[in-house]
Amino acid sequence: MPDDHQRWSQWLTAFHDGELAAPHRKRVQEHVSVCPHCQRALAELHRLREMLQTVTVPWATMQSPGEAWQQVANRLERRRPASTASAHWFQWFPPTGLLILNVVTQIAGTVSLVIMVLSALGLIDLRDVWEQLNRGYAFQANQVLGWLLLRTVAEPLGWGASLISPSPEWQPAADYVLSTVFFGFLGLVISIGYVLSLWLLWRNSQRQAHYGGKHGSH
Amino acid sequence: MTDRTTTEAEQIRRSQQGDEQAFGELMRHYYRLVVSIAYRLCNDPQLAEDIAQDTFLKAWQALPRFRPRGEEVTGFRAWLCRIAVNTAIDEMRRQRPVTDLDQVPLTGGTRPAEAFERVEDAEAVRAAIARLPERSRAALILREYEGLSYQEIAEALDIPIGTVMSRLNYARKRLREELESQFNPSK
Repeated sequence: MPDDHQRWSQWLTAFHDGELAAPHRKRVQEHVSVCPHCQRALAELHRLREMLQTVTVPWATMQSPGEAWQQVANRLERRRPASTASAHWFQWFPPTGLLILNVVTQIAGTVSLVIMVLSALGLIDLRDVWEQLNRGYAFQANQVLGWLLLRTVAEPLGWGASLISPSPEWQPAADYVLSTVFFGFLGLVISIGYVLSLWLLWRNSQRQAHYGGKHGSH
Repeated sequence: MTDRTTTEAEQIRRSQQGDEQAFGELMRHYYRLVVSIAYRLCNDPQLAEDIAQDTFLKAWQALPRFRPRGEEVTGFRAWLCRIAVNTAIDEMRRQRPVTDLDQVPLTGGTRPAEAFERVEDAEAVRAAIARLPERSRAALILREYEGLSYQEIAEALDIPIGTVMSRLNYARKRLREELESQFNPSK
């Protein structure tokens, strides 16, 4: 009756592993008591278990749990962020500095934008504004930063004010427009830097939270 | 719950909050279990120790996301076994072959059950286990050496209980065949 034995084989395995509930266990016991084939199969399972137990782990040559933990603790220590609680406030320097810089540039940029719009509407003459700027009356941050970018980056690359200036007399105004554009670009870079520094700060705080504060490492 | 279970549940919670000391206590408790699984899977004591360390480092990193399905402590044991098995299998695949199968005698056909009774050689048993497919081997090791229930093995290997039973059946059948033939080649 091979099919019948096949059917009983799964039950025998579960019985052998102690995974059967009482009613099923009783049923298997009753069957085994009258079935020589299943008696042999069950004896083989027991024998196999005995044989498997002859394979041992060479504990004597291996690390103790305490030694292993010491190594794991060292590896955790190496992975832990270097900053300590006392140094945490330093982390706020980059985002705070960038935020202040960003606010200044955004204000100056907005004022510049308003001037350009007014100029486009014919309400003011940019050449007058440029003269005022040159006299140092207003918008110094805007002018200086944009001017620096214009002189150090754009002009060496051939993208100076002469490119968009229709005539020499418009050169200062073109200079101003380009300064504003480059200044806007600078503002964008600062904004990205600000967001990035905040993200780094957040990630660092997450890692701090995960690795815990002051915990002993034995 | 027993005192040990209560303590362990507390250690798990503290570890999840980043308490290394509590995690160290958990590791001390479960270290031999993890090494045993790793060693029986890879047959290399040094590699087993490395796998065990990696297992605990991975467990530490993943602990904040650990959510036991059922009872916390048995859930944690099955979860840890799962990391150990996966780490060991990954490492074995990376370092293959760990076991020099050329040193293990090849098997022939089916042999009489009587010969099976005479098998005493632990090395032959070890080699026969090493010949099993990885997943069946893992199921067998978790059951026979670590005493995990079918439910725990199912959680550890992320398979249904029916698959646990069929893998165990397959592993045992293969072992019986391997060991019977190996020690009675004349029959």
